[in-house]
Amino acid sequence: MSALHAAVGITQGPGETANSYVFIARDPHNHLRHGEFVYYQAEERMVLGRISKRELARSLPDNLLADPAVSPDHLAGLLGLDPPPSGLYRLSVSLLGYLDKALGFVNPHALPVPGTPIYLAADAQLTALLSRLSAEATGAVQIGSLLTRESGRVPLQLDARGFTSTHLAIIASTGAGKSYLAGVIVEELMMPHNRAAVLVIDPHAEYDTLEDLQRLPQFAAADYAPQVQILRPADIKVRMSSLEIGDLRYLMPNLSEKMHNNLNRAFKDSRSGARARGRWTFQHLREAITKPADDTPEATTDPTVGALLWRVEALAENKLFDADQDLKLGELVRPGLCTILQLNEIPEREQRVIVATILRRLNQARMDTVRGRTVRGAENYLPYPVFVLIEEAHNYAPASDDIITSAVLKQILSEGRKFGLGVGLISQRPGKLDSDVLSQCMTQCILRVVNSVDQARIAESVGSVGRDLLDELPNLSKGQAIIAGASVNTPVLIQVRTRLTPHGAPDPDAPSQWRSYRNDEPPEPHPARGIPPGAYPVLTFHEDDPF
Amino acid sequence: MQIGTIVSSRSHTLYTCRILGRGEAAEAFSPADHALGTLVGMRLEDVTLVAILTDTQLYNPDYGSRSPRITQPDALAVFAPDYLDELATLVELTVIGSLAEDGSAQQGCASLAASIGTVVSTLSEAEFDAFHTAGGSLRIAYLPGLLANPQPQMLQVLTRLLAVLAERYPDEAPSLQLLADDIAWRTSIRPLEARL
Repeated sequence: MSALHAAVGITQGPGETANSYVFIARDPHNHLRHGEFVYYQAEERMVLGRISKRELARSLPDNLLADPAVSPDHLAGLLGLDPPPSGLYRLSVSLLGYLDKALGFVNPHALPVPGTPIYLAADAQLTALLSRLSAEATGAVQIGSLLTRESGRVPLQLDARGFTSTHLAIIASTGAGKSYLAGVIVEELMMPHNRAAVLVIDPHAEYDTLEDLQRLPQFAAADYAPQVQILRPADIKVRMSSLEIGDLRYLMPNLSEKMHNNLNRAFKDSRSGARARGRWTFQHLREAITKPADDTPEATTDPTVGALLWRVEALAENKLFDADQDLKLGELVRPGLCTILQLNEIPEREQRVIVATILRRLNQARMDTVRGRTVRGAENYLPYPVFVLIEEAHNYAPASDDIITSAVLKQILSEGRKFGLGVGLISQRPGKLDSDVLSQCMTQCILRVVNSVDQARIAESVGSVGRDLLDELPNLSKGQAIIAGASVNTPVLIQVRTRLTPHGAPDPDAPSQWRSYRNDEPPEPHPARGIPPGAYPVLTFHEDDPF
Repeated sequence: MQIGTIVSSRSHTLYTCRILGRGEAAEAFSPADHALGTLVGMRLEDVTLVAILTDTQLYNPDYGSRSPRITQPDALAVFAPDYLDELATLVELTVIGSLAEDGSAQQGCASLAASIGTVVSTLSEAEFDAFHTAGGSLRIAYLPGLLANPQPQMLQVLTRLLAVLAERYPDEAPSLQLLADDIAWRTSIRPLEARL
C-alpha cells in the first residue's frame, strides 16, 4: 500500500522505548490525536504505529495567553507572524509494524531514521489493516468503528474465530456499556453470515430484548431465520444425576466431618448403583444414606444420618432439581439459536450450580463428540462449537474463593479451544475476578474502568494492551472501548456501534419516575388539619410555626 | 523636523546621534522631541530608516578642568564660548525597520545602513501610521527584537511605546495591553522573584 496523502510530520528520532519513535508536526487541524494511527514507508512496506503521547513542543508564552478576549493568532499577527503559527507538537509513536497476511503485524525492529516523513493512515487503509475480516465475511463481528475517526468511517470487525476459541472478556465499570456491547456481539453472531450457537447466562434478565432480532430484516436470509429462546427460572431444570459430589456439598453448606463422610459414601453408592439401573435420584441417595455401612450397624439411629437426610430432603423439595427432566443440550444450543438463561430470582448458590452443571455438560459433550466417544442421537452429542456468554462472571470465578464454577471455567478456558467451546466473561469488577481466568481470555473488550484496583488487575492480566492505552481507561466515555487480543490485528480504541435490538438494561430515570408517580388511593384526611378526602396533602407553613 | 545627525554607530542597527545644539536647528524643538522611546527617521536616498530612541548621554569633554566659578553657563559664555559648542546631547538609536517612498514598510533589521552625517528627523504622524499599518492592520514585528535588547531601560521604553500605540490605535488596545502587562510583569515582579 503506498502513501496516499501528504506527510503530516517529520521523524525526529528514537523515542523513550526501543519500540517507539518521535516525530514533529504542526497539526493545525488537530488530527494527530492520542491513539491515532500513522505510518512511514520502508521500501514498499507501510510501517504502522500508534500515537502514544502528544506534547507541545512550541507555543506562545503563557503570558500572551492571559486574556481570553485577545486571540493568540491575532497577537501573533500583531507581532509579525503572518500567517499565525500553529503550535508545534512532539508526538511519540509506538511501533506496530507492517502487516503480513500470514503473521499479522510484524515488528521490523528498526525505527525510521531522522527526517523520515510520517503520514496519517487513511480510513480505507485502516479498515483493511485493523480488521482481519471484511464486513459480512464469515466470522466478522462488527462491533463499532475507530474512535479517532468520524463515526462509521473505519469499521472494526472482530474475528469470531479468535474469541470463540480463545475466549473473550468484557470489562467495564457499571453503566459504561458492557451489556450493551455484549448485546452487539450477540447480534453480530446471530447475523446470517455467522449463525452462531450462543448461550447467554443472564443473572439480571437484561438480555431478553435480543428476542427482537427474530423480527428484524437485517438478521434474515433466504435460508436462515435466527431463533432466540428465553429460559426463565421456572423453565430451568437440573437433573439430579448431573450433580457432582462438589455440587451437593456446595448446596448443603456447613456439613460436619461425619456428614461429609456419609454423603461421600452415599453418593458413590448411588452413582455406582445407577450404572446398573440408570440415573441416580435423591431417592437413591436417601437409601444410600440410611443404608448402614459395614462398620456402623446402627447407622439408621445415628443423629448425623438424620441431619443429613433432613438436608437432602430439603434439597429434593427444590423444584429446580428433577429426577428426569433436564435442559437438553441439543435444545439449549444449536447454530442459529441464541438461548438466554435467565437466572434472576434464583438464589446465588443454585445459580452457580446451574452454571456449573451446564458448563460441565457442554464441555463433556464437546469432548466426547470431538473424540468420537458419542454418536448422533446420543444425549451428549454436540457436533458444533458453542459460545457461552456469562454475565457477572466474577460471581462464577471469584478471585477470593474457589467455588464449584471456578474449576469447570478454568478447564474450559484452558482446554475449550481444542473442543470448540468458547466463553465470554462479562464483569464490572475485574479486581474480584480470578486473575487466571481473566488472563486466559485472549480477546479483551475494556470499557471505562475507574476503580484503581480493577485497573491494576486489568494491567496485570491483559498483556496485549499497552500502558498508553490502559491510561485511557478512566477517560473513556460510555460506549467507548479498547479492543485487544486475538480477534484484532492490534489494540484499538473504538466507539461501539448502535444496537439493532433495544438495550435491555437502560439506566433508570428515577427522578422522572418519582415525578410521574401518582398514588391512585385518596389520601387519608389529616387528623389535625382535616384536609378533605380526595385532595392531596399540601404542607403549608405559617409565621407562628415553631420552625 | 531635523533633531540631529548620526555621528557614529556600534553595529548595523545601533547608531549614535548628536542632537542639534543652539542655533543649529532650522526649526526649534523641545526635549520631548528626543525623549526616550521616540520614533525617528533617518533619511537615505529613497528609503527612510525608522529607529527608536533607546538611550541618552550627555557629552561634556572638559568637565572639571575649569574652576567652579567659571563653569556656570553665564560665565562660560564670557570666558570660554567655544567650549559651550562642544557640549552635546547624544542619543542612541536602534533601527527597527524602514519606510519606502511608495508607503511600504518593513519591520525588523533593515538591509541598508545610515552613514555619518545622516540627518535624523522626528517621524510625522503619517509616517508613523504608514510604518505601523502598511499591511492594513497594526503590526509591531520589531517588538521581539527590542525585547531581546539587554539594556535595563529597554522594558520601560517599550512600555511607553505600547502606551502611545494603544492611544493611537484604540481597536488594538486589548492586545497591546496584554503585551504591556507582560512587560510590566518582567519589570516589576520578576526582579522581586529573583531576590525573594
